[in-house]
Order: sequence, then structure tokens, then C-alpha cells
Amino acid sequence: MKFMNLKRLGSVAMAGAMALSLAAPAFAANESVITGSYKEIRLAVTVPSTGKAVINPYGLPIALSDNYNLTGQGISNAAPLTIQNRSAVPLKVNASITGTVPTGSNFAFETGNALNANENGKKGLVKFEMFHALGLTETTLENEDVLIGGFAALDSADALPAGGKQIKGTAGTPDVATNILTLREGTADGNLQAGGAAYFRLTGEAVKAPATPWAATDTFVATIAFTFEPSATPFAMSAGTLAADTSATTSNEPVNAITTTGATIVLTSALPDSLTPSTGTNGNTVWSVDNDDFSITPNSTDPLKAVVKAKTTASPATGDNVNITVTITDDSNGISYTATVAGQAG
Amino acid sequence: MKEKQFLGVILTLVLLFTAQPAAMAAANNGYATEIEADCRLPLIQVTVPSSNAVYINPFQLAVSIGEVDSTAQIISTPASIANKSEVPLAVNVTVTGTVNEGSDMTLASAPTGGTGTDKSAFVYFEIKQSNSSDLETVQWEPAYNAAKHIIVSSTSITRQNILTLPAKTLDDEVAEGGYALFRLTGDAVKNPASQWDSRDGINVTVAFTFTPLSYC
Repeated sequence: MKFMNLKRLGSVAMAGAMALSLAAPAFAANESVITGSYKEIRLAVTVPSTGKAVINPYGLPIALSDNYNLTGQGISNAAPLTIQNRSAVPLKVNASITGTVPTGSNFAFETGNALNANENGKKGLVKFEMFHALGLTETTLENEDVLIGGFAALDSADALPAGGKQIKGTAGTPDVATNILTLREGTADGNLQAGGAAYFRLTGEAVKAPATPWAATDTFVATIAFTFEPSATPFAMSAGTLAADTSATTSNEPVNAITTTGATIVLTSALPDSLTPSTGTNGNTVWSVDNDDFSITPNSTDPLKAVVKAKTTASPATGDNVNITVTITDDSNGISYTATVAGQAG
Repeated sequence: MKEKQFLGVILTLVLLFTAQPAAMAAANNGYATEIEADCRLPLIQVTVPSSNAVYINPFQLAVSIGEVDSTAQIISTPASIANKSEVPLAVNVTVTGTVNEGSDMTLASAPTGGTGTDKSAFVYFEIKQSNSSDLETVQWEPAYNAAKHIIVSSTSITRQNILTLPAKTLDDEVAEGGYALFRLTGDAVKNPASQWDSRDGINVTVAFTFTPLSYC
């Protein structure tokens, strides 16, 4: 009896020892070491530190170069200004603008929406505008026709934010515009590619004949502080507006009540004139939906049309959402133009 | 099993910490452009003659003015202004007349018709827009017109925006219509009681001012 107990104890002890000896290698074999480190996103953005603008109450021509002039602008840049993104990611652009009037200047920023027709002070309505500069790449930056010609051709109708951002010059209150536009990422080699640059300018009007004539000492300063945020979505330009054509002969359902009959979706194009949408195997136009219960069939002859349908009567269920997207790719520069409309199963 | 679950929890926590710093760094970056705006003022360049001559010719004798003969009773040598400014100009004119010291003539406020007994002259200023400074190209008005002319009197009379001269051309030349020819003309009493003599005469000051207009 006594011997038996000792053996059991010994076996227990041995088992314990064995368990212990097994425990250490078991932890080592199943262990995962995770090292966390901050992955820096290096911004490679070019922003000019200074610029020149002109208060031009008489609308005199402003010579940008021997071949390009600006005319008729009461407030204008004296030369093109651009920001350029060579970072590895697309960047959203924000701007905070502070307008100040130096001592000795009698200029005043207009804070209303427009200059009063009877205004006789030295006032100017000044706006900040940005524009995509799709023609600017690493190889065209030095090309006068692209850089300066492109700037001279800018139209406020295309400005971002829409209508421009008025600079009111209120002390302590900068004029802020957020998510103005997105700059495309640089190439794999870190070079500027189409979509990666944007023009920015001051524009507006000045009182033509103030009671005290304009003098050379009448100046102002606008300080534009840009900030950039990496964009989570790939860079794309707007292709225009998608809407359902409820007057179509067939598949004429509204976009918020799509069944197996279908809705014809049409793009009202905002594409550049140089970009021609095309269908087919080598076409540059792709239609898509983000809900597998819907099908989308591009029109065989019109790339700007497609029919979206519910796949079956059972699925999708009434009220199920779908986003319908068309993407047209400009093969000359790789820029995608997209438009999306939200739909629903009926 | 418990160990695997425990490891899974650690993994998630670590990933959250690594995701945050990138967004914070993006918000703190900054680039600024300081734009100075200067006032662009037009260069005003107008040619204005500094002096001219005017003759009182009550007996309407033939007088040669350049290559033109005139028998008018009031004759002035041709004069012109020319705009070589960057902008169009509105022309304003102030006319003031004084009678020479020692003269007993007066400046009339209306045409004399050449008749009467008072030694007086009716003198008025006329200006015409032109494509050149050539006197022979101008068509003067046939008679005094209150809407177009300025009477010379001892009281200054100003006419604002009497005409507009276009800006110079891109070739830096006076543009079409960029000249304005002006003269003094009028009439005088032919046989006043006190006869005309060498003491009789007038000085007329024509002061031009120019208001720049928009280029476009």
C-alpha cells in the first residue's frame, strides 16, 4: 500500500514535471508578436510662398507673357499660381484666407454680396477661386501655352468652390473653404501627372471711380493657408449627372422604384469636349451597380445610357438600395470621370 | 482556445493605435501663399499745346492760317490734343477769357451779328473729334450752337465729358478718333463807336482735364 502511494505520487510529480516542461515550448510555438509602428504619409506638395495680384479698377490689360493678356478684370493675379501634388496619395484641399490692408492703404474689402452701384469708396469685392489644371504634368509645366494659356482661359463659371470664396478681410475671422477639390496622386516615380495640379487666383471687381481717385498706395494682402488631407477614394472628376429617363419607350421606371422591368439611366454629360465615351470591348465607359440583386446593361449604341433592373421579383426586396455608377476613362491621361445616382427597388 | 481569443484582442487594439496618427499628421500640415495686390493705375499721356494765337478780324480781311485762308472775324491758329494713354479719356474743358489791359472792348454773351455800336466780340470755343491732327480734315459747325460750344467770358465755364478719346492702339499709336481739334471763333461789331485799335485783344485760357475710363 505504501509503495503504491509513492508510485502514484511519483507519477503525479512526473506528470507535473512533464506538464511544466511542455508548457514553456507550447507558449513559444503559439506566440505571435505584433509590432505596431506609425506609417508616415509623406506629402510632396508644391505651394508658392508668394504671389502678386493687381487692383485694376480701369480693367487695363494685364500682360501675363508676350502672347497672353488678361483684360477686363478688376482684381486679378499678375501671373499664374498653382499647387502641385506629387504625393503617393490623392489629396483633398482646404484653404483658409486672411485679407489685410496695410497701413497707408485706403483699400477696403467689400463684405456684402456685390459692390453697390453708388459706392464711391475705394472698395473691392475680392474672391478666391481654384480650378483643376488637367493639362499640367511634369513635362508641360514649362510650356507657356499650357501653363499661361491655361490660366488665361480660366472662367469663373468653372471655379471651385462654386462662385468662389469671398475674402471679406474681417479681423480675426479668416474666410475658409473646405474640400475644395482633390489633387490626383503623383506617378510611381513621384512625378506630377494630369489631375495633380490646380490653379488658384484672386478675382473680383473694384470701384471704378471713387470720390478720391485710386493711388499707388492702395493695396491689400491675402494670405492663403492651404491644408491637405489624404483622400480615401481614388481621384476622379465628375462625368455629369445621372437620372432616369421615364419617357423611354421601355424600361422607363423611376430610379427609386426599380423592378424587373427596369429604369433607363442617362448621363447628362459634363465631360471635356476632347473625351468621347465609347462602349464595346475596348470602350472607355463602364457601368456598374453596388448591389448584386440588380443588373445593369449598357446601351449597345449610346454609351451614356444603361438599363438597370431588379434581377428577380423576389430579390431585391422593395426599398433595397443600389448605387448606379458610370465611369469614363480618358486614356490619354488616365483620368476617370464618374457619376453616381442612388436608386431603390420598387 | 482562450489563448487564441486573447491574442485576437491584442491584435485589434494595436491596429487602432497605428491608424490614428496618420490622420492627425494630415490635419496639422500647412502651406501658405501670401499674395500682395498692388493698384494698377493707367499711364495718362495726352499731348496738349501750351499756347495758341487768336485774332480779332472785324473787317474780315483775308488771313492765312497754315495753308487755309480765312475771312472770319475771330480767327485762331489750329490746335489739337491727342490721346496716347492706355485708357480712353473723358475730356473736360474750362474756358476763361480776359480782355487785354488798356482795351475798352468787351466780351459779348451772344452773337453780335457784326452790328451795333459797342466795341464787343462774341467768342466761343469749339472742339471736334478727329482721326488726325490735319486741320483740313475737320468740319466745323457753321454757326454757334449752345449745346456744342463754350462761350468765352470772364467767368469760367466748364463742360464735363465734352467728348471721349479712345485709348492708344497696341502699336502705341493714337487710335482712330484719338485726336481732337479745337479753335476759337465768333464774331465782332464791325464799326463800333470806339474804333478797333492795337490795344484791343483778349487772352483765353483753355484748361483740359482728363478722366480715365475703363479699358473695356
